[in-house]
Amino acid sequence: MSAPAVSARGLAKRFGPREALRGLTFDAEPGRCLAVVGHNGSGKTTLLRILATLSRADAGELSVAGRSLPKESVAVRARIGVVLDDALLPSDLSLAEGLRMHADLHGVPSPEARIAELCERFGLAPRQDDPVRTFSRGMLQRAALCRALLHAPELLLLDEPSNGLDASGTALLDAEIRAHCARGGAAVLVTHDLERVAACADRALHLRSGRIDADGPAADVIRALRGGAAA
Amino acid sequence: MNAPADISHPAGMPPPAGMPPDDPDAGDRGGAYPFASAIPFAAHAAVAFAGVGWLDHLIASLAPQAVKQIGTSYLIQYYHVPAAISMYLFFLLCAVAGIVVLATGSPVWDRRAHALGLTALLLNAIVLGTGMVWGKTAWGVWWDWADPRLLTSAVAFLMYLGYSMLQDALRDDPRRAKFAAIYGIVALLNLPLVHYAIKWFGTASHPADVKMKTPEISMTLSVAMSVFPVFWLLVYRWVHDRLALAARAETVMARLRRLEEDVR
Amino acid sequence: MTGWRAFSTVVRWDVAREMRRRSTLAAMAATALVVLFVLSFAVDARRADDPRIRAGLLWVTWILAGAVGAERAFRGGRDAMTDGFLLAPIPRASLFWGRTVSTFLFTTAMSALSIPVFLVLFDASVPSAGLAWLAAVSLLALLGMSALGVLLASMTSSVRGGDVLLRLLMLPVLLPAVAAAVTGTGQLLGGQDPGIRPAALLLAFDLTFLGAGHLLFDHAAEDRT
Repeated sequence: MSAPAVSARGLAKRFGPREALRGLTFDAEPGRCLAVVGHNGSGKTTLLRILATLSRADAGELSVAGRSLPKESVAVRARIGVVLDDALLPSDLSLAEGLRMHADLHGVPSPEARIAELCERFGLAPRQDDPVRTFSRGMLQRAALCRALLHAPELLLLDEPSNGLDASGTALLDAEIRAHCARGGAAVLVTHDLERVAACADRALHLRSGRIDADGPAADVIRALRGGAAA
Repeated sequence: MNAPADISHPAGMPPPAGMPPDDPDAGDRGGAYPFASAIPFAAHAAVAFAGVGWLDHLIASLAPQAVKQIGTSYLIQYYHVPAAISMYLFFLLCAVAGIVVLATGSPVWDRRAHALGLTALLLNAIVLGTGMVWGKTAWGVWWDWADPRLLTSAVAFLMYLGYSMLQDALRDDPRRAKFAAIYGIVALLNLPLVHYAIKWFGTASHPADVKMKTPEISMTLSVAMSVFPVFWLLVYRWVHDRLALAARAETVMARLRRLEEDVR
Repeated sequence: MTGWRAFSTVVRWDVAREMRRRSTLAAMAATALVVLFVLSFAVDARRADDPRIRAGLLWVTWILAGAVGAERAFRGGRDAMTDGFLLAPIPRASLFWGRTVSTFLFTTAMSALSIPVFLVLFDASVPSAGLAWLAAVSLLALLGMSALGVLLASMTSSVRGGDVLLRLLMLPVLLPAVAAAVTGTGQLLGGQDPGIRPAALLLAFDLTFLGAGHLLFDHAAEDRT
């Protein structure tokens, strides 16, 4: 068995007096999608930002894509594809140019072909020369997925990727995540959308007030959550 | 000598460098607001100032007769010079504590840096005040553009005012400790540049200071200089404890909120 | 990706972005124009013939306009490009150098654009003798300003009310550079030889804050929310 895509041991993070994460220990396996669910303020996004090297844990050991953080953050950034709530594309440039910028920053080989391929796959080809500021919410989300996949990352880190997507967009998202895992890649999916968890995830973590409340097969965690909501 | 109104340490004088490690409950980076307790702060500052004044008076009475004949205004030098030296010492310590904060993320050192910066600002105000009084008696003007030292402390005052405003503006921000540490380092790095800029390009016309050196004056001054920083370390200690108290109150509140959440 | 390639990529795309809409340059140039005009009214341009005062006015203009540029290099919110660059596999220091150089290019363009306006409003002329020195002193000062501005703006831009905070933090630190630049510029405008001191101090200033940015930017850029 290969090394875990994410290995966290006792991860903790405080914001001033507030403890956002209180000692998380978990692994994410290659070829699997790990969903992280929980209420607003349970620490999901904080966890994702730490995995994405945008923030630093106060305590605990962490390795992402086989590299330890925060020491090897540059190497980690080369191996992850991240979707945040912002598409992170310059609004004044066209989609193709914005993607080209990220391709340059990542050193993607033959970027033109790769960009054309992704735009085609996400149904953005007709709009790829329009400025990003004219895009709707759903199109921005698709564009963000294109950007995250651009450099063929080993690990996808997705924060609420289904926000603003229509039915065909979510279907596309589910298919991409599954295809990515089938290729041997790993994904961490932060969401409150249990439909997505059911459709994509193999395993799920339920976070509650910065602690792991449940960790198990996605179906079990969903059942427990739905049961809890009904009770 | 007792620490002035140091409630949390009635025994007085715990050396700041060797103080016991804060318990982890108090060890957070969060909000520490001197301005929330402005009134007791001012009261303590006044007591501190009076205390130093009394000390200073004691020292001044040792001053040679010759100095007293020139006028008591010269005695302010015994106050001004040690205050200026302590001020630069505190600037330096604030930046050093900031480096430790950046290297380790230690909340304990963050609070030390914060308290050092605020104490330095207080000292800076005293340096400016006494410098202006000295300028008035020596050259007849409150503000003398020709005095390079006064100008340097004025620029330092603006920078450390910025430091305290940064601390205050970010009080609920998780990045406060780091940003304040960075600015503390930037401000310290800038001090030599300010010094040379004012020396070379300022409108300074008369010499940096009027030297009146007799063995007695030097001795009195050195007594003042050795007592003054010790006294200000106590003031620092008091500021530090206020910050720690505020931070601990915050932590307790956050815990209570968390507990409520967990119960729900 | 090597540091140099990362640096040049950041500069290239910052410039490409700016060329598309010229929003930073437009904001800086408009600020410079307004400040210059108001100042020339305030001091009565016809009588401000002391070259040092003229140099002072020019530098106040450039600093206020430059602060606008530094702010926009790290503007928070929806249009923020910062997270995108922070996710790229490049060292943080390369991002600092890239942003500093692109901000330097924009402030230099703004300064160059405002010189003719200044010369007309104040009916001044630049003596050709010290022209190279004048350019050197100005460029050194603008470089230091950009480095300091980028370092501080990377912190303040994501804070509410950060633009005001940036000016409060930046202006006192800029003072040595201002003093040197104004003195140097003033003497050159007056046809005097300023000697080596202004350039030496500006060089020291640049090295100090380029070095500080190189080392500290990692901490300043982290944990943006």
